[in-house]
Order: sequence, then C-alpha cells, then structure tokens
Amino acid sequence: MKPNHMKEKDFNNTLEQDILAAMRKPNPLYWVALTVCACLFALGMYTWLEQMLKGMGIAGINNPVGWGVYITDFVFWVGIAHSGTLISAVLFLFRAKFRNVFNRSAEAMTVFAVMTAGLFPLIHLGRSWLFYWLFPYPNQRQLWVNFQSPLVWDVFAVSTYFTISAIFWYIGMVPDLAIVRRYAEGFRKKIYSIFSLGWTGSLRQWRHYSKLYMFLAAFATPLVISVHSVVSWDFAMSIIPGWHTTIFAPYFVAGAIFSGTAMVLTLIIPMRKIFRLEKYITIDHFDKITKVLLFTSLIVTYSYIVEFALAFYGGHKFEEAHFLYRLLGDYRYLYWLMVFCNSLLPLTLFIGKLRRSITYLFVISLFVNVGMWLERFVIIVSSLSKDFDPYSWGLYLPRWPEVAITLGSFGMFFMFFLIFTKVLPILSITEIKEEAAE
Amino acid sequence: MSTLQLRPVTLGVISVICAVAIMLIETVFNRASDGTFLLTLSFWVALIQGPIALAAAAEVSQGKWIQPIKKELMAFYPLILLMAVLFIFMFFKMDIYNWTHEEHRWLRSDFFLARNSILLALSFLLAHFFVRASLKEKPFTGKLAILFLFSFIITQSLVAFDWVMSLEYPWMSTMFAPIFFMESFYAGLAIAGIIAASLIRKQHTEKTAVQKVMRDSAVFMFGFALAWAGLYYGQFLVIWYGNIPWETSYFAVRMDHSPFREMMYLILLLLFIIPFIVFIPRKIKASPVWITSISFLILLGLLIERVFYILPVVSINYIWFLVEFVLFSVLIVLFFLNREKIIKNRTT
Repeated sequence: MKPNHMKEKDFNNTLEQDILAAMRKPNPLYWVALTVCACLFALGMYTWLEQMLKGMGIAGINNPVGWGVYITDFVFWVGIAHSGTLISAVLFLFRAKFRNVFNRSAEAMTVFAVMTAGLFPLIHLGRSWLFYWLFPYPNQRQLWVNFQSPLVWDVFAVSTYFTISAIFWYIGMVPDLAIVRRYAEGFRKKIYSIFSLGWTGSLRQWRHYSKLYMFLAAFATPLVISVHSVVSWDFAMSIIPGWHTTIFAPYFVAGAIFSGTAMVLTLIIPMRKIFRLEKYITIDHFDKITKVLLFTSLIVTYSYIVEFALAFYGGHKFEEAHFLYRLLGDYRYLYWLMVFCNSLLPLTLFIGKLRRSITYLFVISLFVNVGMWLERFVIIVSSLSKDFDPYSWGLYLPRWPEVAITLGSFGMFFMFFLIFTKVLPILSITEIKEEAAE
Repeated sequence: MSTLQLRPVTLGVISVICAVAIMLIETVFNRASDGTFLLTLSFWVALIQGPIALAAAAEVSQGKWIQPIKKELMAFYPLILLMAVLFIFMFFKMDIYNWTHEEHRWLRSDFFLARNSILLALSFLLAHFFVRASLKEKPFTGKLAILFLFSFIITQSLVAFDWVMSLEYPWMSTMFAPIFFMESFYAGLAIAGIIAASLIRKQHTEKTAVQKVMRDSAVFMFGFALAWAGLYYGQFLVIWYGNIPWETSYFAVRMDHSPFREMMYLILLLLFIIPFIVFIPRKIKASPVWITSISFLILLGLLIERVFYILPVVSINYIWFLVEFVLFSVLIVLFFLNREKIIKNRTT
C-alpha cells in the first residue's frame, strides 16, 4: 500500500488529502446519479402512499401467497446488512488486515441496508401507521404482542442490530472525523467538531477507544449470527414444506454474508475508480475479499444440496413434492437462474486470475446480488404457492406497486450511500495509516 | 518416552494389530452390544480428521498462528486410512440400522459400506498429499488443503447422516451434518490446545510461539463453544417450535428419560457453558493446566454426545468400548511421539 521509497509522514499526508478530496464539491455525474436515486426513492414512497390509500389489494400478494416481494426485499436487505459487520467486526477479531480498506463502506452499507430493510415489514403491514403495535407498550386495552411469534423476534433483533451497527460505525469513525475537522472550515468545522467528540488522539483516548472498539466487535459478532438466524426462523418455525428445516439458521447467515460481500464489491469497485483510490484499495485486497465470497458461496451451495437431498432421504411425500416443484414447477427458471448465480458462477473464482480481474468481480457481484434476491423469492413464493392442500394452491406474480417499491428501496439505499461518500471519510484513515506503519 | 521411538513400518504393524484386535472384539467377544463399534468409529473419526482439517483451514486462510504445532497436528493423518479399513467391518453390525429391512436407493447396505469406506480412503489420500506438499512448502499446498477440506466436510456429513442419524430412520434434521463437522473441528482445536500445552511443559525451543498458539487455540475454543451452542439451539428450537410428533420424538426420548436427560445437561455443560465461562479471563488462556483440562473436557463432551445419540437406539458395552478406546489412545500417543519420523518419511 505504502511505496517503499515514501516516508511515513508523506504517505499519511497524501492519504488524508486523497480521502478529503473525495469529500469535496461533487461533479455533475454525481448529481445525475443522486437525482436518479432520489427519483426512484420518491417513486417508491409515492407508491407506498398509494397502497396505503387504496389498500393492499393493489399489490400482487394473494391467498395463498401472502408473503411476496415485500418479504423477499426485507430478507434481501437484512442480508446485505450483514456483511458490513462481518467485514468490520469478525475480520477485526481475526486480525485480517485487508478489512481496513473495506470496513468503512461496508459499515455504512450495513446501516443503510438495515434502514431500508426496516421499511418492508411496515409496507407489508398495510395499515403502516399502526406499526407501533409491534412493540410491547403499556396500553389501556391490555393488548400485548405475541412473544412466541418470530415476527416479533424480528422487531427486537433488527432494531438491536441497527443500534449496535450504527454505534460501531460511528465509534470507528471518531478519529477520522477529527482529521476531517482539522481541514474543514466554517459551519462544516462546527459539525465535525461536535461529532468528533473532542478527539485529540492522546494515548489515554486511544487506550479507551481500542478497548471499546474491541468490545463492540466482540458484541457485534454473535449479534450478526443471531439476527439472521431469527430472520430464518420466520420461515423455519412454520411447518410448511421447504421452510421447516433445521439448517435454515446457518444457511441464511452464510447467504447473508455472501450477498453482503457481493454488495460491498458492487459499491467499492466504482467508488475506487471514481475517487481514484487504486493505490489504497489494491488488487490483493480484492483477491482476499473474493475468497470470502467464494467460501460463503460454497456454504450456500452445501445447504442447497443438503436440504434437497434430505427431502428425498426421509421419504416425506410433501417435502419431495415441494423440492420437485422448485426444480421443475412454475418458478423453475428463477430457481435455475438462482443456482447459476449463487453456486455455479462463483466457482470460477477458484481461478486466481479471475479473482484479480476487477471487471469480472464487478459483473459477478451483480449476478450474486440477483441470485440472492431470487433465492429469497424462490424460498418464499414457491413454498406458499403449493403447500399441503391442492385446493389452496395458487400462483403469485408481482404487480406494479411491488416493482416500484423495490426500485424505490434500491434508490433509497444508493442515495444514502452517495450522500455518505460526500459527507464522511470513505476509507478508515487511521487504520490504513496503522497498516502502512507496520 | 524416548524408548518409544519407532520406525514407520513398526507403527503400521501396530496399527494393523490394533485393527485386528478391534475386529476380533466386535465379531467374537462383543456380539451382544452392537452400538459399541459405531461409538468407537464415530468418536475417533472426529478426533482424527479434526486436527488435519484445522491445519488445512489455517493453510487456506493463511493463518500463521498454527505454524509451531502444524507437524504435530498432521501426524495423525495415517489413522484416517485405519478408519477406512475399520469401517468395512461395519458389515457385521448392519443390523443396528432399521432401514436394512427395507432398503431403498440411498440407504442400502452395500452402497452404505462402499461409499463411506471409499470416502475415508480418499480423505486419507488427500491428507497424505496435503501433508507432503505442506512440509515441502509447495506452491499448490493451498489447493490440496481445499481438496482435503472438501473431503472432510463430505465424510463428516456422511458420519452424521449415514452413520448416526440413520439409526432412527426416517427421522431427519438437516442441521445434523453442520453440527458434526463443526464438532470435529472443535475437537481439532482442543487437540491443538493439548499439544501446545504439552510442548510448553517440555520447555520447547520456540516457547513464546507455542504460548501464542495455546492462547489462540483457547480463543478459538471460546468462539466454537458459542458457535456450537448456536447450531445446537438452532436445531432444537426449530423442532420444538414445529411440534410435529415424528420430529419431536427424537428429543422427547432423550429429554424425558434418565440417563439421557442427565447426559444432555452434561453435554451442554462440557461443550458450551464450561469453555465459554472459563475462557473469558485472559490469564486462563495463558495457563497450560487450564487449557489442557478444558480441552480434555471438550473431548469428553464429544464422547458423551456420541453416546447420547447412539445409546437410546442400540446398546453399548462399556468394557469393550474402553478396550477399544485404550487401543486408539495408544495409537494416537505413538503417532504423536513418532511424528518426526512419520513426517520425515513422507517428505523424503
């Protein structure tokens, strides 16, 4: 990362200037991208409002497929949110240095993705204004939430995850905010002064900071696993064929990390190019993070094989019929596309040259994003459309509101990320300095 | 101990003698308790494959921390071949599986014996090539480590689904395999802890490096205790919540009747609560006595867990199990003491 001939002080100065340059006045292309994302977001919000006014009937969900694209989106975005904490916390505990160039963007991605995910249960509620009924608050009618419902576990899991992720992101950024404060002027200086919490970089502060950061990393790691386990139990706790299987928790956790890592690549590759960060985010860094992608792809593929094989192992007619339906039924094209994107295509990453080709990695990350969205869709929709009783079988096709709101969620996510690149340091300056000094 | 220095050929002969002894025990002396042999095989296969899987995983992830005890971890790999040979003798014990009365495509005696023995033999071959390449520091060692890990996951999955879970066919749980290969890896970490602690006591030349290995093993054991609990709870919760009689019966038998109920609490204590609590303080992670004790407790927990799976279905003769246990322990100790020769023999 640091050229051998360069002095440490010069490297640190260049690094600070390069990161701050990314925060300077945006170019027209940035404004175009931000406007497109904002428009998509506005479209999503407008459609949500329309759905609230006209009722859930305008969406495609029906009986028996009561969970459609909205729940697919929820699981997808919660999954995306996972990799941020993985890259930051888990790799920090494993002392994997390559995380230093990815962690800031990955953590930002986590926070924005949880915010996006959190909207979908509200959208799916129909009467979204009654969302506070999900919380166990004291009330005159003595109504109490059903603590036995995994959907209520979701509320606690996701809100805890959001809180810890936001704190972890913010705490990790404090020394960098102090650097930005040093260069900022006027009103911006005041804002950064407030948020850098009087950071001076003294030995005492660093000692407390390191301890807190380590504690948060250790706390966040089991949280990552528990949150997506809870999301998987939304499905596994029921007795519907294709859902009720014990492997769902690790399978969903691995899937979440897989999709999150792909999204990190989708975000970082253009960011690296636009802000000219090639000397900090090197090919070696991509090579290493791609191994995480490959590893999680293998776990996901293993889970596909195990759930499929065991459906036939036990001779349970409903399970057998369901998995044959996934393979050959109405949603078969989506299923096969999912297998291609999540299991077959990532196998090419065993080839070292491909792991080091940035263009290829960008393309594959897009395929994995598509594949992981399809995975959730296939799991949710195919199980509901054909469960035990043939009388209640039915198909589902998303309508315009689902499409618009999904587009809106992508708009919201990318809009927040674009704003992040202009107001906060996009790389962890202090950690890169540390790495270079070593 | 220096008198126990043996040539690789002698070690091979001792292994064959042990295999013949186990075969005789199971076919002549212990014909009444058919579960004994399965208990021996399912327990030791986890302990033998685990340390090599740990070394392979460290190779793939470029984990340098394992380096000072890598040779010691890899010394047990020839025993995988012994497991492959011993598994063939399951032929005499196939009556323990209820599906042998009505065989189908996957669960058929001949296919069952063939696939498991062949996979174990393949795993041995891959371990052999991996060890050889690793010691010579060949550039393709990482690829061989990946191949070995594939074989490890597949064999341990079959240990779970074929050897143990099919005892209660058609009961099934997709989580069984992840729990089994995780436990084997956990056993590998416990063995790494024991090895590191024993090397420190002997005033090993690279004492500081080995101390670091010991501490890292303890940290990983702490993490794996939590991960194990997560997987186990994940399996139990889904079955308990689903409340389908054919699924819950598996746990109902084990939770309502003594001694299985007590075993379950003991497993929880040994594989989760004790390592999790004890390994929190930093000082304990640097103490060879603590590391050795907790590592042995983890291995004991794994043994009890195997009994917990097998005993409700088929009887176990503890005397003969103990004899087989001693035979395997002797082999493990001999392979460990003669590791330099085994490794040297492989590299020349």
